[in-house]
Amino acid sequence: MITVFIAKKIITMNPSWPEATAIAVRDGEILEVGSLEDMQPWLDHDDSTLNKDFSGSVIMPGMIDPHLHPIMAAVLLPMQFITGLEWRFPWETVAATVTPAGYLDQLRLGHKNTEADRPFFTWGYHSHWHGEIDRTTLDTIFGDRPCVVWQRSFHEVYLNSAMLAELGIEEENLRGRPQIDFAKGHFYETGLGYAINKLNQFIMAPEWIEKGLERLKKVVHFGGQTTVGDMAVGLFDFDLEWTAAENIIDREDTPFRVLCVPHAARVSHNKGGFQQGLDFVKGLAERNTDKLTFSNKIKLFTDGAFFSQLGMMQAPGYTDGHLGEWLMAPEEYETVARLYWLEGYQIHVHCTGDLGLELALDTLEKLQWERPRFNHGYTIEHFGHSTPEQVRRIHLLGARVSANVYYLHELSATYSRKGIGVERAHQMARLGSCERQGILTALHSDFPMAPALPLHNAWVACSRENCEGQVVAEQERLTLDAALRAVTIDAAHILGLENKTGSLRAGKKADFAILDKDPYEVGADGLKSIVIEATVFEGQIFPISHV
Amino acid sequence: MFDLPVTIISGYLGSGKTHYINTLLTENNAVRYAVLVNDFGELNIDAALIKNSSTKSISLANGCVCCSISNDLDAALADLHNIAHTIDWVLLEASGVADSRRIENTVINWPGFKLFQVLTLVDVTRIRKLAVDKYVGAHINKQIQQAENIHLTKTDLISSDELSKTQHWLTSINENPLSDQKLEHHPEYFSYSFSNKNALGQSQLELWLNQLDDNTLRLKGFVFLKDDPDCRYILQWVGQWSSNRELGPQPTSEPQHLRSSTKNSVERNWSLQRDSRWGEKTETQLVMITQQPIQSPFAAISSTGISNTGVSNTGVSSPAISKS
Repeated sequence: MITVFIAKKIITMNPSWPEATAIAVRDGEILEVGSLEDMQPWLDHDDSTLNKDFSGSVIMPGMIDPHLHPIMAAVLLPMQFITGLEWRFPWETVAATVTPAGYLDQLRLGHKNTEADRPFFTWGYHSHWHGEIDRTTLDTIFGDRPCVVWQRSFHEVYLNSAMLAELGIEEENLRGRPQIDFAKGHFYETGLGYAINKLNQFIMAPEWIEKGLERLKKVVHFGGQTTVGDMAVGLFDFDLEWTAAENIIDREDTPFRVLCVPHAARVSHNKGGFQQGLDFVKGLAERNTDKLTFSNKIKLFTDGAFFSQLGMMQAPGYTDGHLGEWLMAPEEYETVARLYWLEGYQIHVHCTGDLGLELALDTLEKLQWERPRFNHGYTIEHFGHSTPEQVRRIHLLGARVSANVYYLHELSATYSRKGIGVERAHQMARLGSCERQGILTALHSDFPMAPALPLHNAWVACSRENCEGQVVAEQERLTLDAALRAVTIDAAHILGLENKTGSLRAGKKADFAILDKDPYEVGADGLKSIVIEATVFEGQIFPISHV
Repeated sequence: MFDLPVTIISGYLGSGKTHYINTLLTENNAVRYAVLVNDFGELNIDAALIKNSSTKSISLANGCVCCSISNDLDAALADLHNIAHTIDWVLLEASGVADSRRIENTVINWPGFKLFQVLTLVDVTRIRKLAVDKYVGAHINKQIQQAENIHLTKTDLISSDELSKTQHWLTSINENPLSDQKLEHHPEYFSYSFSNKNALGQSQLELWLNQLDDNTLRLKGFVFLKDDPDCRYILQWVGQWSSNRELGPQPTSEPQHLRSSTKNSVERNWSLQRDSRWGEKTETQLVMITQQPIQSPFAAISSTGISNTGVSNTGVSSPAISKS
């Protein structure tokens, strides 16, 4: 049985055959892309139906987010979002809350609208918008109901008295702990781990994780995505993550596939060493299912988190003189990278600072000298800070970039005032240079670090407009076409799935995103206003309801 | 609650951390260590010593336990806290490529633990190179600037001329004295044990306990009390040195500050709790660990009968262990 979909316009993202109005699909695969008449040779040999659902819409390839973290998302998504910036979810649009009074109102509302017999968890608090809060504030609102306020950076929590009691946290044990303020119920930075460790009984409970993954499925679908990369399987707990993924993701009703990339350091620690870790990773493909697959990819890290300014920076470093951190000793990074390089793996390396990137590139250059490889797929993940010279080197070494462009939207203004200075803050996510060098470049969300909305990320990459409305380093804008490729075919290349998805051509999976407007027509400024009406995953329609 | 002392063993790859930890683990010790290492695949533990092992920890027959940090120091500390009654001391390995203050602060902030000291191991054959290394130079310099206890390793592998140049350079950026003593024992503590089959009077015991000062780091064991001879009592020293250090970007003062006394906040430094009935062996058994050596530490409670006192001075090098 063949289904022929017709549309106002089909954007194939195949530059040799860029536009069409009809597409024929059988068993989840594309047979033909062209005009309705062009479908006929296929229809002569099989039964067919004509689907006109999208005749007034635009069909694009299903979007691809090559780097997000389902397990982090699963921990976060069951919480109530009260945030300084807007977050759009399929179940609600969280409006920006930008005043202290507004924040307290949202807490009261959240308390009222959720089941009172369960603890209340909220995420997104930031004193910049929401003023100071403490245990007394929370006690007044929540009374006997345990409550947790998670700060936007993930590095602080506030607990009310009921939650402190529930967790058995007592004042006498906390004397002299400088980053725990019992009176305020405040646990921060290195004092946070103690609270989180006790909160794990809630946020790592299987039912919490499963609820979170169900929500993640909706988030991924809502963004028009039909393929995502889990870019660190084993981040928290490999077995727990795999079991939850098998239960929730590997099901009929999931409208996307996940490429699973194991976190080398975590799986190795659990197996007793990097060699043992490699042996374990080699066996993972045996677990592959239709929707969850491991391939020849591995995730490594050089430096610390971008949101914490723990990326390693070249001179002149951070304005306050603090150093970032290496997530493993640089020579150890080289050893582990070599281990996987020699086994033919494609290395995806998290780099946030320009010295972190330098280590990634120096290592690649050394490995190319020792054992040259073509199409090695060495991918710079995140690509926070870089120099123009490094971009040329990425090109010369045959590496690729998967960028978190949302950094510049959320952080370029703050970081130019604090931490890094205007010159380097404005040039974060140096994507225009990548495009000019012909480097394969994709955009990712790193969800839940940023919204999993590919067209929104494409808008940030094209406009370079930050959350204060300022355009930063416009020379580093992506062209509209490059930005759209970065969330479709080029993202497919990053995940090694370019023969399966990412563009619409005969032989690929029938993965579509259905849009109400043509992105090439509305242009970069219009990308944000495009509504994704539905997705099609392997030929099956999954409508999106908009609240 | 008793806070477990933590010694952080800091130093870049190859500085001798693993060798040192191996030495401490395998020697027959009065102290039961828990070591937290990034990867215990590197520890060279004699199979005969292993009592049982899992992916997260290895228990040794001598009472020590090795745990993998696996990038989650908080979880490792939480696990240790659950078995705190079976260990005396925590050794924490730090690679020195992240902000070492962060690891120290994590320990300081974790209820149930207190930071005892930070040992910084310096491989004299490599340190000058590392200090100008493109990737880790800044961390190495900062680590040396902030170090409170620097121990030089591999000193026999370079000429005495080179060694003195390196020492000169180290003292030019860090004023604390350097030690090139072989690191074969846990520095800076002394351990004493005591057993006595005769029951103790409570007032005699209290008199002794109340005169102990902050030289005492740990004291624990079972007590055989005259007034309640059927039940054993558990004695615990709850200590008085504070881990209440100021946090901040600047390095704080000398290690003495760590051990500053906070006498006013605790009425007494020990607790004595009634436990179960005595099992097979009815006798007082105590282990005491001090910073400075003391003469006849148990004299005040030994007078009632024959006692057996053992001492092991861990500050003195033993020639029995060879260098790797």
